[in-house]
Amino acid sequence: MTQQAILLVLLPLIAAFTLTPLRRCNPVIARVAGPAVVVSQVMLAITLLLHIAQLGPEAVGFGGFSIPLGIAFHLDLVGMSLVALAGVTLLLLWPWTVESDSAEPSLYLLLLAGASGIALSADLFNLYVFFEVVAVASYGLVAAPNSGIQLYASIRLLLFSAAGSALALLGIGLIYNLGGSLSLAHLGQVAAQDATLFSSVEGLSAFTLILIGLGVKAELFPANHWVPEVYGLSRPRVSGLLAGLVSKLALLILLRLLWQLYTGTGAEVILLVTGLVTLLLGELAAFRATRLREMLAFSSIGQLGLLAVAFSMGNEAGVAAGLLLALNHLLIKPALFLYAHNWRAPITALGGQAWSTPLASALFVLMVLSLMGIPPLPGFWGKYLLLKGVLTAPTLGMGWVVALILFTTLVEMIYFMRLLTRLYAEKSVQPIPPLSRRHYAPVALLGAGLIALTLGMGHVSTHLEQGAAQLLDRSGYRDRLIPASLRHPVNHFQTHLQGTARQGGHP
Amino acid sequence: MSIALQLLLMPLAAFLVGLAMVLMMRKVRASVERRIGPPWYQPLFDIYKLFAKDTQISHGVMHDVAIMMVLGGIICVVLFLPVPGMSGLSAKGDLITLLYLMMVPSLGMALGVGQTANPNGSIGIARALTAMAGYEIPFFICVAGAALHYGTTDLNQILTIQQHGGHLEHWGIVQMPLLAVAALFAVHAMLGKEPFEIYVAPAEIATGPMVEMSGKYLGTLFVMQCFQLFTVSVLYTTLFLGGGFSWFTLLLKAFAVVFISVLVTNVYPRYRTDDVLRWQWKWPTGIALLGLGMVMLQIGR
Amino acid sequence: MNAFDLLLYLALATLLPSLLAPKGRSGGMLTTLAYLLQVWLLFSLLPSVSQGGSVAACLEFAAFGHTIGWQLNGFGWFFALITAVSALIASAYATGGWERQCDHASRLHSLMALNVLAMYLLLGAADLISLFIGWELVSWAGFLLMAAPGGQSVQAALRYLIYALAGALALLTAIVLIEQSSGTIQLDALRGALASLPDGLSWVVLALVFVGFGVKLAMPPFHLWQAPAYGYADGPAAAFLGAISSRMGLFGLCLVLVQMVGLERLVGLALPFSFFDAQSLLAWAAAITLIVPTYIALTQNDARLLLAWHGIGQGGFMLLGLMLGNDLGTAGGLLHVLNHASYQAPLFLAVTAVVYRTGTADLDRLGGLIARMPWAYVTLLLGIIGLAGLPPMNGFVSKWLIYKGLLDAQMPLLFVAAVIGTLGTILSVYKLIHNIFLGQLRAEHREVTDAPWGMTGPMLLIAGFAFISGMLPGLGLYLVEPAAAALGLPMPSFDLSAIHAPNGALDMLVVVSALIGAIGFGALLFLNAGRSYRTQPLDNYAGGHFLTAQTRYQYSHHFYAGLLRVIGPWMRPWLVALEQGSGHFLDLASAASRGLYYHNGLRFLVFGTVVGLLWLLIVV
Repeated sequence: MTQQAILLVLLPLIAAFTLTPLRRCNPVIARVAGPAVVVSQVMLAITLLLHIAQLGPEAVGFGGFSIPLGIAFHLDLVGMSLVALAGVTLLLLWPWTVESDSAEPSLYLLLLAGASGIALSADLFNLYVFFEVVAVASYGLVAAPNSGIQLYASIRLLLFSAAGSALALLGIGLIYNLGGSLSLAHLGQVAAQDATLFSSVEGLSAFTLILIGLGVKAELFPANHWVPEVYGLSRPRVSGLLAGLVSKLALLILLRLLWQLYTGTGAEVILLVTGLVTLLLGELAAFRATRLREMLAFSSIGQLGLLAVAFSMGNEAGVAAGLLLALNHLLIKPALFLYAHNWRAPITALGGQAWSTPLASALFVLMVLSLMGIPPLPGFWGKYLLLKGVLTAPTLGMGWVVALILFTTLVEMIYFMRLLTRLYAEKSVQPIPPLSRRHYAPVALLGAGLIALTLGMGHVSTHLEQGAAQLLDRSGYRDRLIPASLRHPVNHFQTHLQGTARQGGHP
Repeated sequence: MSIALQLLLMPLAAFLVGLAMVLMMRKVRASVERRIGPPWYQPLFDIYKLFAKDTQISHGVMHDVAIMMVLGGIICVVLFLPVPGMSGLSAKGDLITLLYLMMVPSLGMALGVGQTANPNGSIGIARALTAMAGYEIPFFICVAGAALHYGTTDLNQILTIQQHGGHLEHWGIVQMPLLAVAALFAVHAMLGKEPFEIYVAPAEIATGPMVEMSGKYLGTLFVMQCFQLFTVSVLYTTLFLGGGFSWFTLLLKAFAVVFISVLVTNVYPRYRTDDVLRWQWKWPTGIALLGLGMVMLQIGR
Repeated sequence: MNAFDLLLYLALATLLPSLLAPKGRSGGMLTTLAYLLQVWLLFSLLPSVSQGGSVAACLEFAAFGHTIGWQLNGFGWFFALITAVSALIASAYATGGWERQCDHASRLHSLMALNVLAMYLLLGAADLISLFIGWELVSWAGFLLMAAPGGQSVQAALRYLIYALAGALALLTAIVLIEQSSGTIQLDALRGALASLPDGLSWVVLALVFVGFGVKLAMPPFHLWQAPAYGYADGPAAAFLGAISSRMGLFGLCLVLVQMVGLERLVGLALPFSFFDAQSLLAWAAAITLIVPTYIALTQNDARLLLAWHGIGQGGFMLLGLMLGNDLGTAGGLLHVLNHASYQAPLFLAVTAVVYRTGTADLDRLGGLIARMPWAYVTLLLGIIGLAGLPPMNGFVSKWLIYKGLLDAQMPLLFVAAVIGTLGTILSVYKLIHNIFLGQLRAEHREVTDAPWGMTGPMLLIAGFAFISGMLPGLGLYLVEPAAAALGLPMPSFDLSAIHAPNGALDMLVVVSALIGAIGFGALLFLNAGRSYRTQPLDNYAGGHFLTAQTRYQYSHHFYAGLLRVIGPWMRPWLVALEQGSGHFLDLASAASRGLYYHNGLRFLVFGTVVGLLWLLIVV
């Protein structure tokens, strides 16, 4: 049953490449095929999710090879939910009205394949490959309408992101040098035996290189200067996807690495500090943004920084907070970018615009409130859990972290409230046209999702806690992926590799 | 003595004593100015003359009501002030109630003067209220210190404590000398005598609040002055001088308080409003705070 | 389904009439009726909440291992009653005539109903999370109500919201800390639970809670938002907000300080290197709240801002009384909440009536209206006597209780501070009534008439209640008893007309009767003493000239020139400068951050970091 998990990657991958020839044969079927694949993907993901929820997380090996030689997937609550959510988000933001020869549907399917791969993979090689798939898909999406400035932005993003990927590859190479394997479970076992292995300069530098490399996509400082440029120029759907989905995927890779290899080393502090600086700079920059899109881009940076802080806490409350905040962000950001497309004018010229679209504006207000953390919306629960996580973390200096989080939240509240009061000011002279019809449905559905999440917080909370516990359960992760026969402390194969690595040495 | 009889006799006694105090004031001033001064019945005749005037101007209902409030308020205050032989209603309202009741006639007068729409009157009231903010602060410090020292705000209990044993050693002025001195300063300002007479300032703002008061209006204010002299001096005596075992001792002490006030008043010119505040907030307040500190130390011991 | 559930549903239903019937008076009338029903429901809840009882609501949900529910006890009931009555009076006033010149009347009614619902949700909280949910709802509902008129009120409301949100963040941190140290969020289980915390943690929690709730109470240094926010709101809304809205902060503070920490612990929590402990620090903070805003009120030229500043000051009185811990202080502090609502509402409503008729609240542009608007004058007079705390009004009773409580607790300096506040109040309210109703009548106001009976009725009603409950303080104290019992604080012995204390009692019936009797006697004397000739208000004569309406001789501007010459130099706008400075600092930080993003700064940073890392790897 769980072997079908491979379909989650294969199906969209194959469909992505067969969509183009299919279009030549029958354009109508081609138009429908893409969404159909996504729908079936979501259904499969939900089935597997229910399976995991009942029976617990599982590891699946492919091709008849067992770990660590073969490719394996680790199916847990968070990963599978991410696959399902990715599918749903892509479906909501699907390019229905694009020209028939556009490559966008294929790119969407590639994105889906990559997302599934990242969420489920259990070794660094796979993670890197699927990350590249996602990256390439995102470059294509940014450039898709082929207009001058978006192409320019896409190429700059491509160059920078490629450099980042190279750095990440370097980091992965260093880890392989140290640990002798690319399987996360195997590396975790090595790290558990030898605590000082990854806390050396080499180990932490590897982590930092990967942090910077993946941080490009995860919008973390100092690799996030492309964010305002790209989000400001690309279409709202794409900005929503990049901010809502792709960033979380990059973050997930980092987190798997962090929790399997780097617990107890200084890597958590590196992630924490990175997150804090990202948060601070992002929210401060948003404070004086002139346009809504710019404001949302910087706010997105800030939120990602907050997620990094939450996850770096390493306790269940912090991870649950991160998950909830990520979910909240995933639901809200794409919708907000769609609104921003409508309210393109500088913020000072947006006076009174909310009165011309009362219902849509009310939904906008609801989403912004959830972002700010107003109860009983999900954002509040996320902030509450985050504070709990920070204040129960054993390390010192948490008072400063709390103070910084509160300060940036206040800054965020101020600029959002300024925006809202301007939107609801006296009716302006020139009302802008209402939200375009093709944006209604995704916004409404995302809003409905937010409201459903608010009302169902009781149920969701138990699942969040379960998911957080599973993510932090390092030994369980290892035990599921490594067959019992290979689970003894010393593995000759490993030692041999390590020996050659050490001797093969550095220049 | 039945309560109804007390309610009648206390104001009457206060009025008569007040008249005598006004007479004393005028006689002392005459002495200072080397005159003979008015005859003994002069204050009463003045009141009668004012009430008998033909032309008296009313500026509106509030003007009339204010005068009634003034008279009623000051009579009510007297009912709550225990005197030898008559405690009146003082068991039903304590020192704090008394002090606040004393503000009712002032408020009434302020409202009435306001209705007269004469800017001189309004300026006078503004200055009077400002001066009140000046002297009430040291006075309340002294009241707080006294209440703390006696452990009660019931005036009858305060009198009992001071008269206990019959000697002077329990008197407030002996136990809390600094507070008594500061209170004397404040009481002098409360009476509105030079140098704290800015709210009247006859040559500057045409007697201030009293500018539009004629006939019975001015007569009532005159009556209020009589009552006020009595009230303030008896209150000071009750708090610091041990009250009076009999009317004779009480009157002796009360007249002494007013006498000191009158002596000072006859030789001083007028302070400006802000100078009143500065002086009141420096000297009486400073002395009172020192006295309060000493009371606190005593209690702490 | 018990009465508390019914109350919540009714409060929710009160939102509907004005939304469904936006035009005409029917929406307002139905809303007023709904408030009347709410008051009746609350009175029916009195037996269940007295003597420490409580009523639980069916509304509850579970999340993250906590059960979040609602439950009304005596303390919350007390505030809820005041809320409902304030809303009733404000709504009746608006329906009775004020909304004729208002273009957003239905919005006003529904927002006020939203505020009432939010306050019930706050007051009926059974655990920390529902408390926080209620708190945020109250902040937001208050913001919407304040911003309803548009124009300058929106800026003031936004300023309020920023303060409130900052406070809410501090509150959330405090809640997490409390939950972490005591292991539960249920308020009943938390009674006294914080008394055993270590000193450092206690101070942190106290500071956070002070910021969180003190913002709503507008305690300095968080007091800058309240006056413009309440002053520029719609008249009835200002009356409602001024009467009860800031007291929600007092509710929260007492919940934490008295119920969770306990006054003994506060006394034991000493500030190192000084003779202050937490209790005296809070009492002095309350005293500063009493004094500073009152003297700022003295300098105001807008009647509504003046009243709003006084509202801030009186909050200091309430906290001062409750921090004493003895029976008189408790009764005084809680009773002052009730009394303040009963005279602050008519004050705001009377000033609103003046604005309704004359179009201005500027104290330098009014005068002499006693002849034209006598009932508004009577209301304002009763309100002023209450605010100043003079007999015979109820303000005097609660102040007397607090004064005596201070003396019994042997805190004479705080007693003097309270007196300083009262003196400032007396000066300031005289200026208010003089500049509006006394003095010279302006020519343009010669045809002004009194407000319609629909407006005058409610404000006279509530002012009358203030008078009656001053004469019979037992009425107010009877309502205060459940609140004190729920908090676990003692109450003095009292009956309908008197408060008994061994060292100085107060029998208000006797005092008021004596006062009225004496005034009656004075009236007899006065009226029998000869006829007086009534002049015209515009017929005046001074200094050899006949004064007509064309000559402006009203003494109103810079009323207390002498006083301000002395205290003026002490009143520097330190905090306003700090507030503006913070705003500028944020702008600067934002510009710096944006510069980093837009001007290649980050690219260099990335490059540099990578080079550094590679160097580190190669060398090490």
